[in-house]
Amino acid sequence: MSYGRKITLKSSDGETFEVDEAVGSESQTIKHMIEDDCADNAIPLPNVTSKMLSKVIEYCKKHVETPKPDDNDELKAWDADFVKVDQATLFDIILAANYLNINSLLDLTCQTVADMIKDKTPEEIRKTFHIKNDFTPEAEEEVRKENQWAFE
Amino acid sequence: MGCLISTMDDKESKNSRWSKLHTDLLVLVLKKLCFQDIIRFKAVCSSWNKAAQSYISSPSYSLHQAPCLMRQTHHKDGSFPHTLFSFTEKKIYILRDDITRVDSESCIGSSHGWMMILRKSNIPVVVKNPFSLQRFKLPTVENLQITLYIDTAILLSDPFRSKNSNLSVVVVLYGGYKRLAFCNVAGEAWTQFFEARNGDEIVKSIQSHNGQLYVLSRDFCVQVWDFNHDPFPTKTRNLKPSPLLFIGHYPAYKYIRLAYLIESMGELLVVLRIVYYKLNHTKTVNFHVIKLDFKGEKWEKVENLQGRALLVGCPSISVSIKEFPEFEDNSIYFLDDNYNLSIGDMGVYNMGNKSIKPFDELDKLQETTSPKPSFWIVPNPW
Repeated sequence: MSYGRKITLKSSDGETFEVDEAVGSESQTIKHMIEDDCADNAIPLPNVTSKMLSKVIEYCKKHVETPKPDDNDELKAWDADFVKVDQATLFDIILAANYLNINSLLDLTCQTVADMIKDKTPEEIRKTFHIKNDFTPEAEEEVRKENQWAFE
Repeated sequence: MGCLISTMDDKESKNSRWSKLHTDLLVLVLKKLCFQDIIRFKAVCSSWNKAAQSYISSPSYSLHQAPCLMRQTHHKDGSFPHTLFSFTEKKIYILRDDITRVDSESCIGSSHGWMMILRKSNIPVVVKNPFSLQRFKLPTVENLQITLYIDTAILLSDPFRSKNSNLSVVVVLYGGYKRLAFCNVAGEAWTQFFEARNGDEIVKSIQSHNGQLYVLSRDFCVQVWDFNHDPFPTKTRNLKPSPLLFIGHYPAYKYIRLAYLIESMGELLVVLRIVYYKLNHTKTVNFHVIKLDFKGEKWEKVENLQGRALLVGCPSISVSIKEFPEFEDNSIYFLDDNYNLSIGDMGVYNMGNKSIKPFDELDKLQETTSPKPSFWIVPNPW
């Protein structure tokens, strides 16, 4: 089912993707470019790789195709599966959703990150996201003392 | 806070991208975390620490935080720390035990995340943050005819988030619930601005809302005071609704009626808590909720809270169930908040089936009695 015209998106590594205008418009960034009449040729997206762009298009297509997206349990389950990716991919999706200004995807991915943080100690959070503890020993001690009770 | 980023090898530089995630995106994640998780988030690395600090200082912070329950209980080791119960995490946290001086200080409630502590001295009120221990030094009461006994004290706004922190106002109710006085947080003196002229005007409850003071008197009249114009507050509204409907038969020798003024979704509500009172035994037996009609001319009964829970105490807070599903819909959460009269029970009243039950998962909390009142607090982790 496709109404309206098609637009072409071009990833940072030169791959092109043809999508319905409605699907592309899930991204406020792309939507503005269409409105500003910049969409006659391929819309260049230098900050999004082809791998990420195809992921994002998959998300937008699904959301455009689903009736009553705010109240749809099947869509919620689909979304939950969509974000079952490794944390490196999750990171890239967040950046892509932010650059392309897709609110629902940004909200979904940030909630996923929040769920990965909940109830974990700082050390466990660092392990999950491969973050290095870059506090000086003094700074670290200060943080611990301030809030010892939250770390149990 | 010092920040030393040591050199990273290839693997780590690839994997440490999360620490370099832009502050705006980190804040989107922070908005979805409860207070305790934000504390742990702060301790992950220096860039996350900065993002958390920036979020906590922003005006939108407190809008998304669920209230917690704070009380002081005797600990096994003999200390007397404050404990924090989070309904979100269903966990009890033991805070440091030096927040108040046991013998001479008593916290009667919180206001905008700050503890309101009463003490027996010529500076009878201390405003203190339980996490950072930051405090505001308030003036002495030498110029007031104040008995050293204060009934309650509240802040009208958060001193750290007000446009001008020096104008943040503290209001005290004293003299047997008859007088109101105020001072600015950085002020020099207390000033009395109200005195009850008869029994009807005795104050039953005070609340802050939008920086203004709401006062409920015994005859269920409501005054609204504005403190924006120096040097003296102005009464902007003086509502005298027609007398209260018959609420129920609660003879004064057996029952106490506590009243909690609370603003909820643009409406002014009063929660009446009926306590059955015998010398060594008090028990909360019933609740009634009334609201002021749109014109302020009469009180109307409220049968259903429609998507809200009301947490009554000092302060009283209305929570949206959609935003905070850890609370039960159409319910009133009450505490052992009235230690003058030894009202020592806590629990949840369901407006639908009119039943009272203890808090879930709070067996540990309810086993211990506390000689000091419990209160709600929206944590403010400065």
